[in-house]
Amino acid sequence: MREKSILRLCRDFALHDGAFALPSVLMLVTVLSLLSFAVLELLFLEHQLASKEISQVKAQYAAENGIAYELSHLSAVTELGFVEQDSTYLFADGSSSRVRVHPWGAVFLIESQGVFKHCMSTRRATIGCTPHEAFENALVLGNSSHQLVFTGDAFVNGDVAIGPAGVTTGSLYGHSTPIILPIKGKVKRLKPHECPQCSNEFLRGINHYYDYLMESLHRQEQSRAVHENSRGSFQGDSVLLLPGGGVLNDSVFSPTQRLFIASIGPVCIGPRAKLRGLITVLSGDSIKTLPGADLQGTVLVSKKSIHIFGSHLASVECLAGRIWLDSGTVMKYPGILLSLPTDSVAAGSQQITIKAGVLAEGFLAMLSPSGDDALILEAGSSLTGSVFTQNRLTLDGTLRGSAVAEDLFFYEAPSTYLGWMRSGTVERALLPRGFLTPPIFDGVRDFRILEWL
Amino acid sequence: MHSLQLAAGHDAGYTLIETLVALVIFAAVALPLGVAVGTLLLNKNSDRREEALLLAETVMNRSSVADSIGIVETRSNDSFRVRKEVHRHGDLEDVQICILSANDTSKVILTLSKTLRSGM
Repeated sequence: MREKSILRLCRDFALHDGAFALPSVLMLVTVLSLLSFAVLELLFLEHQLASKEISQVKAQYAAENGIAYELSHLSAVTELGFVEQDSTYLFADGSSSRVRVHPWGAVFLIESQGVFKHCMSTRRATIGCTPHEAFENALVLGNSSHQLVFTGDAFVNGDVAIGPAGVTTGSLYGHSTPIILPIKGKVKRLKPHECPQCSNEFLRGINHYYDYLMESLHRQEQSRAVHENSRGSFQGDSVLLLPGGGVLNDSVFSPTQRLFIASIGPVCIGPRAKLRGLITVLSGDSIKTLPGADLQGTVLVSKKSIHIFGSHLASVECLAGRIWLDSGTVMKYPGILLSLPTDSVAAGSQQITIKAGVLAEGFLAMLSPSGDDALILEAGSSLTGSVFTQNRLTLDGTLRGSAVAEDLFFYEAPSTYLGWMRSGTVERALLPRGFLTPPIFDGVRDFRILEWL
Repeated sequence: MHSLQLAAGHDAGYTLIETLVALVIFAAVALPLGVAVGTLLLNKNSDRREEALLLAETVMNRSSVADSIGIVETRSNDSFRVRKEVHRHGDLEDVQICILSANDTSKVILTLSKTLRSGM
């Protein structure tokens, strides 16, 4: 009975719904086909995304590989100039990288763009060198005719390299006289040429590079032009000109490209200023940062002086004739202070002074032709890093690292004591192993990553 | 049987409907089946490649300049085998990580290459 009724229904449907059945079936087929294609498309997209993810990783590795190759290439170059370089590397897996090296303060900024298929990845880092072998010692006194004299609380934990005059203790009014030599390490005879020599070519390169930048900016300032993404020496970079000087009192962020803030006059970085990223502040006069200013990754270049009044610095480089770090300043690694001879600073008046109450990490160097220039670490200051001076060093503060100086001195009225140390301490073992310096010394350089950006 | 013969005998234009119904039945069965097979193949392949990438990156991140030179092959899990090749030239070290199928070691799923240098 039941079978019969179903057959009847089928027969009725076939006889009476002829016009309706065909469109319905076609629509159903179309909908089903579209749905199937959509699902397959979605799956194919997922497949493509997985492939793209792999390509992206390969592009990133290509960028890093480019940096590795460029570091190896730079380490093999004996006559290193302070110039921009551009290289392209092709790798066996089909990826490639374009590597550009720019001068960045006293070090280099390396930018690598890795490409694999249609994916691109950029890596950026600052690079420095492993320290010269002289910095293996805690203290190196280059002047072979001077004796190293310890008085007061001066103490060295590490090896001391010195000329034939040797080491002794001395009595000075107001200071205790050490009973034994306050050296926990070996006293070594300084061999000829053991003291690091500054690469003149590199120093000329630094001066020439920043002089050229200043000159270009001065020309632009005279024409009262403010350029964004200008051409010439600032190709691809941004330039902000402050005619006659100015105050930076707001946040400036430049995460993706280099920004040059320049003036022929003095520049003041105010207490609310936060400078982050690849920013270079250039001044034909002086640069001042006030308490509360916060700088990260910034390069300060002045023809005259840089005065840091209790600011917070991280990965900041200061290049000027005269540099002061005032009480309350915190400078985090990799900080670099470099005193260079400039036309605006009289011979013999170059200076780097680290005041009491400063906490600094990094590399300090005084490069000067005159014997009167001084690098001073005041009592109560603390530096984790290395110090190099072609002239005299007053070492009254705490140095967790090493010092290479042509001479040591301090002044107590009415005399200047050459070769003396009265209250400074040097702890060589506390210098971190990965510490790097700018590539300012002659000889074999081993370039490494100072900081990934 | 008799009634079925009757129905077929009297419906002259029934062939089109029959064809369409057959088409619908075919579409309703074949298309989801195709989608399911596609899903199985593509999705499984994508997941597998992503898993292989993660494994390759992990092995690569663990690599350092101090690693011994040569070829080392290890079985990672039921799905993959990892072949690591290290070659040194000058101060650079080329590291190549190959992720192979555990069942068929001639089938390379993914290869990553990286150049290492001390201090990077």
